[in-house]
Amino acid sequence: MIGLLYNPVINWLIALVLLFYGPVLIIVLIYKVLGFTGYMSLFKYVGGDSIIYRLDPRTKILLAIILTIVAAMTIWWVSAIFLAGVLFLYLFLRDPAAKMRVAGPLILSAFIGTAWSESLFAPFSYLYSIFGHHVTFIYLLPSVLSSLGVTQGNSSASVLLVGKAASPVGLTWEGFIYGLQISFRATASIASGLLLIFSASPSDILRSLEKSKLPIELGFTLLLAASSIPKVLESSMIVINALKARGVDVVPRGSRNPIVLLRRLGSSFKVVVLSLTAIIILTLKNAREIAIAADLRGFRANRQRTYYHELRLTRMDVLTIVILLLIFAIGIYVSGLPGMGAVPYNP
Amino acid sequence: MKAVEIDNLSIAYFGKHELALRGVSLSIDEGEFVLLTGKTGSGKSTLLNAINGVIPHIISADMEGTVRVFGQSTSSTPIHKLSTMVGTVYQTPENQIFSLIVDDDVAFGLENMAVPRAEMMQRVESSLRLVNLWGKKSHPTFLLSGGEKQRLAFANALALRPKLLVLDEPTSQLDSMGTEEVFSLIKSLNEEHRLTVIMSEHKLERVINLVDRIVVMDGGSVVMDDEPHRVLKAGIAKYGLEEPQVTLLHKMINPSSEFIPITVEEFVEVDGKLVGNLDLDAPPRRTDGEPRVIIKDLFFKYERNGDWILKGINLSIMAGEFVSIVGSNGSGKSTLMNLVSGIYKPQRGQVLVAGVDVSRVPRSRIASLVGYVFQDPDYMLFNSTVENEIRFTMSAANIKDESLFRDVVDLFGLGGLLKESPHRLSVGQRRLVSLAAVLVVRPLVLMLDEPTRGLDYEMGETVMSYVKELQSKLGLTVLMVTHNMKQVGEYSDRVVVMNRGVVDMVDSAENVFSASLGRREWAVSPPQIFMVSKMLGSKPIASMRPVMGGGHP
Repeated sequence: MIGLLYNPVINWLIALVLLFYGPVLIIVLIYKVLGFTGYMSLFKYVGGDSIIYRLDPRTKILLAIILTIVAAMTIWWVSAIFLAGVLFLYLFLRDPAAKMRVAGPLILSAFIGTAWSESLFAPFSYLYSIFGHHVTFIYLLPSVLSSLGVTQGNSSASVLLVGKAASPVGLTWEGFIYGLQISFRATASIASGLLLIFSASPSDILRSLEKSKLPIELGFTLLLAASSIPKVLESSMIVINALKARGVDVVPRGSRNPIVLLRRLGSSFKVVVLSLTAIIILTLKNAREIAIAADLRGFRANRQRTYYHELRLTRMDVLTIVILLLIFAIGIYVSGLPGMGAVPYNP
Repeated sequence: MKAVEIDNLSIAYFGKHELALRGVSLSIDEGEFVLLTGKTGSGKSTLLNAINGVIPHIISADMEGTVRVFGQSTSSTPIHKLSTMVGTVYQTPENQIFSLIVDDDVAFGLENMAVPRAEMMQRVESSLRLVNLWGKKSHPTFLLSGGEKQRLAFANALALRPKLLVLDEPTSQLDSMGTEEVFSLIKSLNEEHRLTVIMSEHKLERVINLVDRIVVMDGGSVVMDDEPHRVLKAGIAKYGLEEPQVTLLHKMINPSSEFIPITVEEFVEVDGKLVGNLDLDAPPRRTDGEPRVIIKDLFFKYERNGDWILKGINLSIMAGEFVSIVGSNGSGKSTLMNLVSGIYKPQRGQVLVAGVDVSRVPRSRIASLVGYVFQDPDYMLFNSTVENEIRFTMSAANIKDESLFRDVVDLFGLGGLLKESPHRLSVGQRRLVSLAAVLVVRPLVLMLDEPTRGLDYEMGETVMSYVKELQSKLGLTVLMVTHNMKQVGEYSDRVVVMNRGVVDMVDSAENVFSASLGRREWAVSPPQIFMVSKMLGSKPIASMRPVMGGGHP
C-alpha cells in the first residue's frame, strides 16, 4: 500500500493533481454551479424596499470595511460570527435563495481555495506554534517541491502511514484546518461586499464614492467596469460559439494517448489565446465609442457635479453606523486580549 | 440663424494621406430634416463628427475650413457646451448607455453639467416622456429592447436641450420594430418639437418621405444636395446607392416623366393607371429536391429552470433551397441557428443535416456539414493573417486539400490580401473573409445571420451575389436570418416566420408578406414592390425580378 502510494510515478501524479485541483475546482464550481447567467446576475442590480435596500450605500461600504478590518485583527471565530451575521442580513434581500445561489459558490470557493492553499503551503513554523507542536503530514510530496513553497516539516513531524520522516514535504492536516479557519476572514468580507452589490445600484455606489471625495474618474471607471463585464461575457460567448461552429473543440476531448492529449491541450490553449485577442479588439473598439459618448455628455466638464438622487443618511443609517463603530471598538479591544488577536500566528 | 454652416471643410486623419473630407460646404436651416447618404467611406461619419465637435475635440485630425453651429465655431467652443446645442446619437445603443437604471442614465449628463437638482428632475422626466419611456424610468437598462435602448440614447441627448440632432445610422443595429419606433420618434421631434435633424442612414425607402433634403456624399465631397424627388430624378445609383423600388419601377415604365415617385402612394397615384395592374407571375421558387435539413420536434432552453426558448420546431428544408428566417428580436431565430450548427444541444428533438444528427457528430465534422457566418465578422476573425484565417477552418476540420484553399481564394478574389491582418480590412472585406473561411471546407448548408448588416448597398449586393453564385455552383442549401425584407423577397424560395419560439408560418415570400400585414409582432415590413401590388389589387409580388425581367436588379 505504502509502496504503491509512494511509487515515484504515482507520487508525482498525485503531487500534480494536488497542486492543481484547488484552482480548477474553484473554476469548475463557479462555472458549473453559478453558470453564465448566475455570474451575469451579479452585475445586474434588482431593487427592493426592505431595510437593507434603504440603507445608504456609504453605510454598507462602511459595514464591509469595518467587518474586514476587525476580522483581520481578531481570532478566526469572530470572523465566523460575522459571516453568519451577514448571511442573516441576506434574508432581507429580495429573493434570498437566488442571491445565495450566486453568493454561495463564491463564498464556498474562497473556503476551498484558502483551505487548499494552506494545507499545502502553510509555513511549518506557523502550524508548529499554533497547534502546540503537533503537525501531522497526510501525504508526502517529492521534496523538490519545497522550493515551490510546499510545507516542509522539521524532523519531529509525523507522517500518516509512514511514521517519522526527516524534513517531510507535503500536505498537512493542521494546514487544512488552519486554512478553513482563516478563510472565514476572507468569506466575511466577500459576503459583506456582495451584500453591498446586491442591495445598491452601481450608480448609487458611484455617487456615494464621489460624495466620499473619491475622484469621479475612478468612480466612473468602476461603474463602466461593472456594466461592461456582462457585455464582455456576452461577446466571449459569441466568440466561443463562432469557434465551435468552425469545428473547434474549445474544451479538449479526452484521449488515452498522452501525446494526443497534450497536443489537444496545446491547440485548445492556442484557441483560447486567439479568441481572447478577438474579445480584446472588440472591447477596445467599444471603449472608443463609449469614451466619445461620455465626453458628449459633458463628463468631467465641471469639477462640481450635482446629484439626481439625494443621498442623505437616515436615522437608520446613523444607528447602523453607531453599531458598526461599536463593533470596531470592541474588535480592537478584543484583539488585544491574550489569545484573541490574529497576531502572532493565531488563525 | 442657420443651424449649421460649413464652409470649405477639409479633414485628414492623422497618419493618412487621403482626405476624409474635401472642400465640403453645406448649410442647414433651423427646423430642416436632412438625410446624409453615401457609400461606406464616403465621409458621412466624418462630416457628422465635425458638426458635433467630436472632430477636432476628441478625435484629432487636420482640419481646414470652418464649421459653425448656430453661429458658434465648433473648434473654439468646448465640447460640453456644444452638446447643449447639438445632440448626438450613434449606431450602437449599448455604447451610449452607462447606468443600469433608465432615469439614472438620463441624469448622467445633467449631473456632469451641474444642473440644479430640481431642474434635473424635471428635465429627466420631460426627455423620458418625449421618447415615451417615462413608464420605464426605474427599469434596468439592460432589460430594454433594442429600440427602447436607442430611444433612451435619444433621451440622454435631449436632456441637454439641443436644438440640432446629429444621428449617425441610428437604426442600423435595430430590428424592424425598433427601426419603426426610432423613425417615428425622429419624425415627431422634427415636426412637433421643431428640432433640426441631420441623419445618415442606409434605409432610404423608410425615411425618404420624412426628410426635406438629401445630401449625397462620395469620396469625401458633397455630390448632390437637393429635395428628395429631384435627387432621385438625377439618380443615385452611380454613387453606389440603392434607389427605392418604386423609383426603379417608374423609371422603367415611364422614363421621360418630370415627376419621380418615391413612395408607394405617389407611385400608385402617378403610375397606377399606366401599369393597369401588375399581373406578373411570381418568380419560380424551388421547392423540390430531397430534404437536406430536417428539424424534428425541437425544444430548447438555456437553463434547467428557465423558459423554453424553442417550443417544438418542425421544419424540413430541401437540398439547394434558399430559406429566409424572419421574426422579431427574441423570437428564437438565433437560437435555432445555434442548434442547427450543433453549437447547442437540444433538450428534446433533433436536427438532421444530410441524415446526420448534428448534436452527436464530432465537432471537427460540423464545419463540413454546416457553415455558419455570424452577424458580426469581428467575432469570427481571430488569426493574424487572412490566409491563416482560412486555413484555420481547414485544420479544425482536418482537411488538407490545397485545391479547396485556392478555389475559395480565387472565388472571393482574396489573392492580394492573404498576408494582411483581417482586422485591418474594410467591413466589406472582413465579411468576405468570414464567408471564405466558412466556405473553404465546402459545407452542405450555409447559414447566414444578417449577412449585409452594416454594409452599404453596393457591398451588400456583392456579398449576396457571391452567395447566389455559390448556391448554384455548389448546390448549397442556404438558411438566412434577416430583417431586410427586400432580400427576403428577392432571394428566398421559402420564408419561415418565427414568433415566441414557434414557427408561425412557412410559405412563399408573397404569402408571408400578405399575412404579415395583420401580424405586427412578426416585425415584417414588406418591401415597396409588394405594397404596390397590394394597393393595385393585383397578384402579390415580393421581388423585382419578374418586373425587371430575369436577373437581379
